[in-house]
Amino acid sequence: MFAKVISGSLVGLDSEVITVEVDLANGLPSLQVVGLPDLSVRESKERIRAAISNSGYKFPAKRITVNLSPANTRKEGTQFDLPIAIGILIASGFIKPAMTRGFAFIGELSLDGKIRGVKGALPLVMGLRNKGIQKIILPMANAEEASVIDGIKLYPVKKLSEVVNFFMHDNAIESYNGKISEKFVPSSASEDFSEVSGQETIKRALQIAASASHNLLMIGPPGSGKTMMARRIAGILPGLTYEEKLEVTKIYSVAGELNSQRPVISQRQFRAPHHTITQSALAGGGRNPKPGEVSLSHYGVLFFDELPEFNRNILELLRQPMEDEKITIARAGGVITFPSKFMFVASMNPCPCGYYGDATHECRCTMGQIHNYMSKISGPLFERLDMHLEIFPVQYQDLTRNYQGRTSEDMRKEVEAARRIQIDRYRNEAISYNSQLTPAMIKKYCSIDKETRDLLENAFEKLSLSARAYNKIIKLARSIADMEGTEQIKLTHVAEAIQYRSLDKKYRGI
Amino acid sequence: MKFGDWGEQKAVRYLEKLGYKIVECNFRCKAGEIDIIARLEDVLCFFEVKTRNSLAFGRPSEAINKIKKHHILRTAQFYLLLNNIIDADSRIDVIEILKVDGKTYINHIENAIY
Repeated sequence: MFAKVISGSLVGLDSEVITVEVDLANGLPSLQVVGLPDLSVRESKERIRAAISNSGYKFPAKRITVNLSPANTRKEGTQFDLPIAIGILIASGFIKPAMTRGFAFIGELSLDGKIRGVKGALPLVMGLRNKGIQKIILPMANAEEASVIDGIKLYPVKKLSEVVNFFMHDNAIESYNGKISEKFVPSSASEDFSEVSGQETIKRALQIAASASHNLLMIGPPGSGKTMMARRIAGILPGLTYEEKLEVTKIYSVAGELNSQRPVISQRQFRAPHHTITQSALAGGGRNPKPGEVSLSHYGVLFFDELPEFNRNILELLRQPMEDEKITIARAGGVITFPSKFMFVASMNPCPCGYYGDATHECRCTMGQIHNYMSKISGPLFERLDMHLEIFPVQYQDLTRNYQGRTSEDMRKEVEAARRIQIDRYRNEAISYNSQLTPAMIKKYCSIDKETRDLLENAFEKLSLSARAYNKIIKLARSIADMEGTEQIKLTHVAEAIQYRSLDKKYRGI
Repeated sequence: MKFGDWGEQKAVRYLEKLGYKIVECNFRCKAGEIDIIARLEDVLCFFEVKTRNSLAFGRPSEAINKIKKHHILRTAQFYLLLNNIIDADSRIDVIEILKVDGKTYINHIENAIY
């Protein structure tokens, strides 16, 4: 009395097919799960026993052995409850084995026989589809999330008895036909740039940054609108493509951050972790690694408010994912790589009291204090920030004048146009936007004339720039030129780019 | 006769009425004791009988804790080994017998220990 049922298990953002084998033997009644089950899988025994008897079926008084094959990888998660229960019911003769051929099962059981949602349903279903499985029985709670994938038939269920009736009496389960396309269309962001009064130069700079995903730092006194504007950056980034949406949704699915209100991720995400965040919460971690904030802000914005308040080790941690666009975590449960292609935005005050350089307030800090404050951010990190924006308080006239600023929508259209130019230009390269340019590509795509070269030389000396900062200026100038739709990088573009780097000297030089 | 032995006799009569063939009573070994071993068609059953005359200390079956369960399981396994029974369907039941106000209540819990 043997039964075989197909299910899946998560490995990072991918999944593998797991065959659940159930054998009933004569002997003293017992239920054993083998094949490296984690605690959450081993505990499924009790749920399965209760769910089967509470659904009105007889739990066989046999020696039951369950094997999760391949037996050499660790299995985690509660999605094995349903396949094991179905396996037991097949092996004890309730369901004919031929009926379940071609189906895969995922789902957690509750004691009364209801089927609950599981974490990581999207990557699980995707993995199963890629392995050639066409029909999946899954919890109703995960149906919307999983329905973004095509080429697979989903049968969402709420109760164990529904599944059994489906196979025993042919009581059809409606395959899922939700209109996911509507969910996948981003709703307009609730926070719009038209709410930001004045600050037109900063808005332009943010557009440039958004068009090529340049990392940026905003320095300004309290109340000048740093946080307010940062929150709205995700809204002016170009829309996500289908593949990008899937990728981000997968990360959120594995992290267990999807629910019925938010079954899929269709928008660029804005993540603003508090400065008390731990290293593993930022990078990702756990015995079986889960994605951290750097991965949750994949294709989105990672915002650090009050940058100097963050621990130094937290800031240093960012360097690798920022450069590599991915993060590799090695833990007992395996080595896993999560993508982390985010736009890094930080904000800070120029000094502890916040008013250094402000026109209307007097700064009460000593030079030593300011120096201390600034030195919390290491030079290498500072350098990796492509743009340093100095923000000044909003003018009274701008605040009270009854004027309508440009909406995020308008700004996004310009950003998208600039991004399209870039994607077009790098069609034959491995990159898609300016901030990813390598030095070799800079030579190829960013030609500059003699006059501009002189300006750069001058700036290099005067601002004591590093080689990296020099390259960043050229990349930035490229983005500015793209924003204006000109192929040739002009003197004004480079001049503007240099202006976005000058804080290097002004504050660090103290 | 002790109260517990009375309860076991009561249980034997109850099982015989249900059609069980009694195989052995009070099987003892180093691992523990099994009160009744009986056969119903192809199924070999082991019974643990618990008798009480008041509910002051909870229901009779509550007296079977994890250690007791373990003892019973081990004893049953030993019995199967001793008699060369390798591939028989078997199970362990608990029979609660409660005697209060001159009335006797019997509660049979099938497949109680696994």
